[in-house]
Amino acid sequence: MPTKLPSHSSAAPGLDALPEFAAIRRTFEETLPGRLALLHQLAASGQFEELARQAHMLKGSAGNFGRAELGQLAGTIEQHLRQGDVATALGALDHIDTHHQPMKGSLA
Amino acid sequence: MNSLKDARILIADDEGGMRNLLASIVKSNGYSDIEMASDGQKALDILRDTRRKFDIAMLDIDMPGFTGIEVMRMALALRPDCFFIIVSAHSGVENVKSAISSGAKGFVVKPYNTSKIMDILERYEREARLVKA
Repeated sequence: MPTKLPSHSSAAPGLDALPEFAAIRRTFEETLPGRLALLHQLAASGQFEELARQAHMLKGSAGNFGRAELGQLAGTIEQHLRQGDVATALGALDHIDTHHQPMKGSLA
Repeated sequence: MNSLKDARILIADDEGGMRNLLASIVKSNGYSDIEMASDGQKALDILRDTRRKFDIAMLDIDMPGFTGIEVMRMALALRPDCFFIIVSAHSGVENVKSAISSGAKGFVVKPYNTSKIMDILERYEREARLVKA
């Protein structure tokens, strides 16, 4: 059963205290829909190497901006693509799409 | 360099948000002389310009052009005193081994918190003090 991404989650410890963090996270959140759309475009066009690269980037950044579950799903996509298991990777991609919700708190 | 906090730092990552985040953490630790590069080629170009001193280079592994490890390998000959730190979401032992055996003084796994970055900057400061002593 897929788990729903929380609408609010914590950034990595200490980051919330940084003066610029809210603005940096806001930019991340604003660009997230476009990044998820890009993942789908790459999947649809069979560009799996680039899809793995983009998923890897998302894995790295999502956890820093309070999106741990999203980062884990992105990591699953990357891992399965690197192993040549495209079907499982695309299944994880559908997970991201179904359960992505804007993080309301970060846009305040 | 009058103070260790005057160190010049290069941050290279192809994701703007992660560059800005790392710069923000570094600034919160008292450093202000920061330059950023958005891909491996730009990072290498900056490090190859030996007219400018860099004390610390924080390089993401996965970047267009060259990986952070490739940049470090090519730049180390020109900058043997630079404190290279590899940053990556690749947390596998092989990546860490490759980075350290290639000359990195530290490896930071994404996602990271402020204390991980602070720890590694404190290590830089300890080593820099030993060199100055």
